[in-house]
Amino acid sequence: MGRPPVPRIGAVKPGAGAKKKPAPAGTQGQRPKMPAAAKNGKNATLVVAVLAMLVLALFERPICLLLLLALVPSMLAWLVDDTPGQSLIRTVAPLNLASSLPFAIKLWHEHNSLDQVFVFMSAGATWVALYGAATFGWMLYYLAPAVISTVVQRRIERLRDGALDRQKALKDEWGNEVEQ
Amino acid sequence: MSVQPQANPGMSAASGAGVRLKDRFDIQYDKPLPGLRSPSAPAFVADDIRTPGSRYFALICDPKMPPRMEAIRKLQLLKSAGVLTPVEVGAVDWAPANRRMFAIVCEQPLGDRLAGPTDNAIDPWGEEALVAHIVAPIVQTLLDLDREMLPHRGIRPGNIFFRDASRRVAMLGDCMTAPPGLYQSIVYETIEGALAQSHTRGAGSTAQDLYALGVLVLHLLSGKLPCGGLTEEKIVEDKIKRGSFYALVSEQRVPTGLSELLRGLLVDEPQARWRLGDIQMWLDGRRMTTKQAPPTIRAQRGFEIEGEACETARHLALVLDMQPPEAAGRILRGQEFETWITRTLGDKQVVEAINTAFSTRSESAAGVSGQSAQLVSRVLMALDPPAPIRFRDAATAVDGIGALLAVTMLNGGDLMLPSEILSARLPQFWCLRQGSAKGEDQATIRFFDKMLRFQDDKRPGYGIERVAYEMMPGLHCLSPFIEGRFVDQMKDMLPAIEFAVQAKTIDVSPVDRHIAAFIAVHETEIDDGLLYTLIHADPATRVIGTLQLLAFLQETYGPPMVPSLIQLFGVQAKPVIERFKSRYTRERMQAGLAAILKENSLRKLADYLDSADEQRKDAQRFQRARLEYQQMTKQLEKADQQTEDLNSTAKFAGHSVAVKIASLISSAIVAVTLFAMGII
Repeated sequence: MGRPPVPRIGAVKPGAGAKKKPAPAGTQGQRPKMPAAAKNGKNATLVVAVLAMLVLALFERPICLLLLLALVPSMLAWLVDDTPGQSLIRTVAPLNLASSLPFAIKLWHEHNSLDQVFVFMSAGATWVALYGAATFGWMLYYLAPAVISTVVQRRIERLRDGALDRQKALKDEWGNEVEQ
Repeated sequence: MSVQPQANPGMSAASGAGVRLKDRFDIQYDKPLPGLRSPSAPAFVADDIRTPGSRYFALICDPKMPPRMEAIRKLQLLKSAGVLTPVEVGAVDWAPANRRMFAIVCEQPLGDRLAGPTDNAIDPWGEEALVAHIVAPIVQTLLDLDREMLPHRGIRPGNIFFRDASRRVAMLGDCMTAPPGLYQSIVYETIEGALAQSHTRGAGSTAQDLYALGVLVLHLLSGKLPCGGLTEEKIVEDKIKRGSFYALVSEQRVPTGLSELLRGLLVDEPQARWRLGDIQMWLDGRRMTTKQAPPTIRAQRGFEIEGEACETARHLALVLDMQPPEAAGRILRGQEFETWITRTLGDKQVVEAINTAFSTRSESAAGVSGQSAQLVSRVLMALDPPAPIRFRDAATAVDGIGALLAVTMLNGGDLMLPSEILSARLPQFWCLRQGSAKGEDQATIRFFDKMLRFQDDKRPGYGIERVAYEMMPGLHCLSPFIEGRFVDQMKDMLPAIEFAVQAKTIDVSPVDRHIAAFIAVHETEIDDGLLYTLIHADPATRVIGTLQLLAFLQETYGPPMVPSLIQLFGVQAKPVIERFKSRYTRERMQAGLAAILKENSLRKLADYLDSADEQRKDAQRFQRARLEYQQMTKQLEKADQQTEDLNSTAKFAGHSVAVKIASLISSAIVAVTLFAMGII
């Protein structure tokens, strides 16, 4: 009898739990190559971002500058993210953008000038606000799997212990014959 | 041996040195009555507690000789004054023998015996007195017995009493305590009876009683036993060669008035012998003519065996029977024998029968010698059809095979001989040789076919033991466990087993092959399937089968209390309880066993140990437990798989969660920002 299909944990998408194929000989320790679809998606993100920045550079140079400086963590995320669904970018970028939004609005409404950009950037709180959110995104990205792994592992252990205890109780009552 | 009143219902201890039979007769074993004893059954005073002063005596049967239960039953119904009639019968604890014995209580005859049991020389009787005081009353009694189809088979001077002190009316003595004709002298037996072993002569018919009556008349006339100086072999040979009348009368002078009677009674061919009606007419004074018996075919030249020239087939059969089977077989296969039979003797019926004997296939476990013995036996039956079945050392009437089997069993003899007689189908061959197409012969053949099937069936309840109880319906159970308790009725079975368990005679299984066969014969409601469980390979099934069987007996016949037997089953209950798969059920059953044992009911114990409901529940729960165990195994495999896949799945799920959380927080920051700056 074949083994039963491996159940998925929580709301994990189908296919996500499939066993990874072992790496081919000679590629041990290398970063796995990104799938073509993911690479296309990543390139599309880059194109959209570059286009948006070009448009901003044409019409709103201060805001464009602000975002160039503020979105460095997201750019780094784009560089290192090799996940199929660009999870790192999708985690870091929203937080990074959201934290840049108050400064961009303020710049837009008040002193929309490069000087004002430098005023903002000269304040430490600005960097803390902009990069703190991004850092939180990075942390979230790396800590969430560990937390989930710990929780699920505990649940599995509980189930295993319960099954072993029940088997012991059954053997105690019915003898080894119950195994057959 | 002490009397066990509680274990023997219907019997209680009598006062003094005696035992009480069925709450009525106190049999005093310190008061023997030598004058009333039978050869194998001593007589003792029996006091009727209902009628003090009455004159009864009890015959205590030899346990090694099966009593004639059928005769006892018929005599109790008949209540004839002309024969010793049982008033009460039953097994009693007989202290002098330290066992239970079968007792037959009869009324004491007022007169004494005609002659002592071993007296051959007696005072001669006159013709008139003999007819009036002996012949006429005996004929009247034989008429009564004939109505019940009960041959007496014990007519001899030592077994005739007088109903009155003045010795004017004779009555027949005991015919119940031993197999028919056992104690008859060879002289008093027909040729067929004389050729058989004494205990296997069979009941025969009234014709044999009439023959004995003829010999009795001759004996009383002369006061000497006819053929007194001859050996038994010589008497038989004389009867065969000369005919019984001439052999017995010899040179004795027979009164003219009795000559006709004697010629009529001492005819060797039963169909030509006088019947009771003929004697009655003779007694009434009518002149009778002697019936003509078919002439015996004699060869012109005798067939010689060891110097003995045999002129008739019957004589040849007698001489052949005296030869060892191998030698007899060689003679039978010789050309000389064939020539003599076909040409010299020229009896077509005999030739045909011998051909049948030779063509009948002989199969024997004893090999060639056994086949030879079977051939000789069949040829002897072909030569002398009315003679008993003669096979190796046995010579038995067809209706004496049961007694042969019973006596062999009772005396620890070799059962191979009766078993081989049945296996070789010799009784069936004998029946076919009688030349009558009467339904009786066919019924006998069917009966022996059935017995053969029983014998060949080795399961409990069958085998040679079953055959013995089928052929001797009154035979008590011969199981070594309970033989001493003389169990001849089902109601005595369980008390006897209880006694044996108590006495440690039984310490493992209380039902052996004899007990199973006895029950199978006497209790038709017992299913064969229950008997088969007695030899089941599984000890628990054996115990349960035995328990169910004995529980049935207790329910049907009692007694209500069988403490020793219950305890025995209590000890043997372990494998039965071990059948339950659940340890908790076993512990519960074991804990509850003591309470059940105290109830002293085999049925309750059987129901407790063999509860179908409990077994079904146990089996169902076991199946569920197995399924659950398998599910647990699968759950563990699943957990292993989940652990193995945990890193990849957790990473994927964690990233998804991170994306969602980031989205939520970002949305919240945007919303707060827009709200704080008054944009929305």
